Amino acid sequence: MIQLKGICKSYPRPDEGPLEVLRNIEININEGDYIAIVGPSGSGKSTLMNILGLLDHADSGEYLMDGENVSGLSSAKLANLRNQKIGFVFQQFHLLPRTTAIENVEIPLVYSNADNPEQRAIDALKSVGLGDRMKHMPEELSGGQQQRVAIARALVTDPELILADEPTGNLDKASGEDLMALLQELNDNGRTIVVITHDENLAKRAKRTVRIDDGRLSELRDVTPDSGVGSGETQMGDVA
Amino acid sequence: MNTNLLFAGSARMMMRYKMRTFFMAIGIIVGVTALIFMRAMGVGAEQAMMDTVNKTFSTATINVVAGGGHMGPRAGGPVTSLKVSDFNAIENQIDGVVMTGAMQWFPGQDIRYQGETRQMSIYGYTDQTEAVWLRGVSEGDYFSSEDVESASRVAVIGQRAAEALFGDENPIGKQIQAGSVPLRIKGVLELQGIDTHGADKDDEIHVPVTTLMRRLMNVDHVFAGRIILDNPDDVDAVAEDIKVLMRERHSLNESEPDDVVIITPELVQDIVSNANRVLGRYLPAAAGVALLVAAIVIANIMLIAVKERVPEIGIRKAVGAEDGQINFQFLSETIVVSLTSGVFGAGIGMAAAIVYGNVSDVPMVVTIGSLALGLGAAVLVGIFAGVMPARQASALDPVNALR
Repeated sequence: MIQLKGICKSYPRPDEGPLEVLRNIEININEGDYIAIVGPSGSGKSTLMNILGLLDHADSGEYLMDGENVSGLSSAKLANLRNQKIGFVFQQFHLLPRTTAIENVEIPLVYSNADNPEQRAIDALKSVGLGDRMKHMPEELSGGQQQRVAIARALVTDPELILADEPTGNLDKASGEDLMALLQELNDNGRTIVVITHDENLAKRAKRTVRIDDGRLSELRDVTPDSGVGSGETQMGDVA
Repeated sequence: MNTNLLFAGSARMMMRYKMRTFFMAIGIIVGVTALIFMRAMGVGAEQAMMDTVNKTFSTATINVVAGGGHMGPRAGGPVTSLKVSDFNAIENQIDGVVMTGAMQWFPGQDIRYQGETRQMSIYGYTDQTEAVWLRGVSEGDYFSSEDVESASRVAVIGQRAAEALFGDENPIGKQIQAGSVPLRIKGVLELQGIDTHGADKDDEIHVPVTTLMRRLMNVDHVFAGRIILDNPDDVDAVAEDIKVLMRERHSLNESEPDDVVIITPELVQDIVSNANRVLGRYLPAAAGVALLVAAIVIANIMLIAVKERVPEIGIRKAVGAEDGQINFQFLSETIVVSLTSGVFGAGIGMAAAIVYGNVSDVPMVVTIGSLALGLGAAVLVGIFAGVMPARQASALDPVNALR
């Protein structure tokens, strides 16, 4: 579904040379994957996430989405791809304040041509178990419930890929467990999930774990049924 | 893009951030209210004056007033050269003239009836007044040509003057006293209101011009006269003929200036519309300044709102909003607030104008044009105030916005 080939990204620094954040990243994300990206702070996880999510451009390398090279696309076209193919879940939830759960979930549908947006939003909220909280404001919901609203928002356009950045980072243990179960359930139903996390437990749930260190990517573990690779360190290049 | 959903969302945000919306709205509401109200006042004044002008001064009319180069009597003493015979000459010698009517004016005279005394102007007219000066009587009779020929001691009286002197009594047939001259009331004048000079035309009396000259003022000249033409297109040509004839009859040599002023309808309308320019244009311009201030306030509030809404913009972009769609959303939010405020302002302004017009004597006229001007100004304010914040919002980088 998504192939990254030789992705490099660096940021200029005033007094030193450019800071290389991503070096020659190669990864294939296949339909039905559940990938955890781990790594220390500053390793380039978030930058990789932004590039995967079409929010940021790589300096060099190829990004193929469903076989199409996205690097030359206009920002409007990229916005449409984000709308149709990618659902975001953030650590800080990023729900609009003073806006009900259902209105929050409807936001992506503002930018699509989907009909019956209200019914879609209701269905998405029901699918994350919030059928009885639809008219609540974010301020009236617990952290776990807010993150479920965010997941409903990510699901409402029926995207191929869910990108989650530290989704359990602001949740207590129990809510975190619930959320992990929800992601698991989504993946079991065939949804592709990429999650950035510090959370060992969450990373363990994923079928594949990749690690970024100093801008380089390495596959730690792949328990995808047909990969034939068990846990243990493998260089990415071999897998791709 | 689903614009219904976008507008519904924008409307909700405005309802929820009431203070912000209120401060954006209030400037426009006040500005548009003031604009509509002041314009109603200006248009009302202009229409009222034009009505008066048209009622008293049709397009086939020329006025001749004694006095050179000035409107009205010349400073340094009355001009005595203009006579009733001049108007007879104009009527008989100039082509295109249908009739003429000379007029004399004796302002501020004490008129007595039994114990009552009232100061008012006495006008001397001919029996042609109804046709020439477009004013007749509502009760009784105007004076006749015999009255004018014989300088009869008769008068017709304005309605306010009649009420003041006679109260509920019928004035017709009563005898009033102007100085030492007794005058018998023959009729009551039609209501006319305030003229363009501010004089109350219902608080005056008319007597035959001969009576006024010989018996009351002891003069042989008139103050002015009016000439009625066959055809409005002849006005300029006839005005020129009158000028030549007057110079000839008054024996002016080439070095002497004219001793009469010839007033054509065009001149009157120019004077009236110039006088109204202040009311019709400069007052609304003052409201325009209020709207400009409102625009600056709105632009400021929106810029602050964009800063507050950075995460929202980031989310919207992440879930698929194009830059142009963010721009559209923010611009349309300001325009919707402005237009809604404009509708409120126009409604309040119109209501205030109508109420004020009813409780006061000031004529107020709200036109479709004024309402369109108010709403148009509101939308312009929205666009003016919204462009920069909208551009700033759309230019935000989603990666930074979500950090």
